[in-house]
Amino acid sequence: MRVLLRVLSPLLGVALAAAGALVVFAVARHWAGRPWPTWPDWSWVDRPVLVVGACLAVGGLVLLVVAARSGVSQVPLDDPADGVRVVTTPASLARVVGHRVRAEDGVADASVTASRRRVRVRATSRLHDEATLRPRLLEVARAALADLPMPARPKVSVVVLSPKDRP
Amino acid sequence: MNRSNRTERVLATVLGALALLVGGAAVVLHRFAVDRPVLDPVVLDWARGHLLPVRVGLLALGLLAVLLGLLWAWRAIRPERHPDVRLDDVVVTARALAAAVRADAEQVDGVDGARVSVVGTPALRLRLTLRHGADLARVWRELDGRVLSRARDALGVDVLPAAVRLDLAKRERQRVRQAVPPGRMAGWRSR
Repeated sequence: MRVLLRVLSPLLGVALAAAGALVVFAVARHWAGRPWPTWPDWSWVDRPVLVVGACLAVGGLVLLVVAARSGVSQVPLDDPADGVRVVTTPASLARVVGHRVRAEDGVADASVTASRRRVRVRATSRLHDEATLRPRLLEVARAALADLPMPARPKVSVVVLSPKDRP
Repeated sequence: MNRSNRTERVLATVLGALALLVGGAAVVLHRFAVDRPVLDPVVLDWARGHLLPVRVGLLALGLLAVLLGLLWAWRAIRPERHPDVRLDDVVVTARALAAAVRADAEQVDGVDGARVSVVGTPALRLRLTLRHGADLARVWRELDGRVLSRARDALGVDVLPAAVRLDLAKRERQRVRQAVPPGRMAGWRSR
């Protein structure tokens, strides 16, 4: 989406400038004594109005989606010195927690998703049930985050999937 | 860290919201069969009665659109500046400064690769890729203690603005499967 925004930006900029230039040209022409440009005598019920309106609405929606999706989500870390801003990515945060959780005894595998506010751990174990393993993994995940220099710590939630919990 | 695209995103959001509002209003008015001209006669009569302010307003709006559109387009296509840094009577090129900082950054334990750009006079942008399992907190500490402080000393400045992004690499997929016991394989082969 970043690439799409980079491609669209100059085109939209030129289109906006061209539209502005048309308005300026029409006003200057009218000021010089010429009539306003002719405009089709459309009513709101006419089909072209619906088509143009729908195209505008869809185009606007697409633009909003592109703008929203082209940002890089970042997790801020503490500033180590004046003027220095350090960030990491949610994926990196998830990897830090995942690395520590997978190293725990009895964890067969784990998938971690993270955002600036929340870290979710989903671990699988063949040896332990959820009641035994969950508190330990919660502690490990929280400790992994506590070691990081972060101004605000995300909340942690852990789910353990184990055959021992099956009825 | 990539070049910021915040301005482009804000402008695209404003334009997108405007288009959605205007287009959506047109669709709604069509749907409710409002049988009035798009260029409303009441508005046109009012505009004819206040011709000067309408002209001036439209002219200002048009000029603003031209200016904003050209600025937007220029900002999107202009190459990023990497200015050289002047130290007394010596000029350090942006490339040399970036290479020196990159070499320092790559010496930090756990750093797999670094991309450094000089984006101001002087200001840095760093993107460090860390090995899987690297100690992110230690890299964060050493980044200022060993890399940025050295750059500050070399440039003779107290404050060196820097935007740093730390990326932890993915764990490598296990590409070796557990070996099948040789006895069973031998039995299969013998059959």
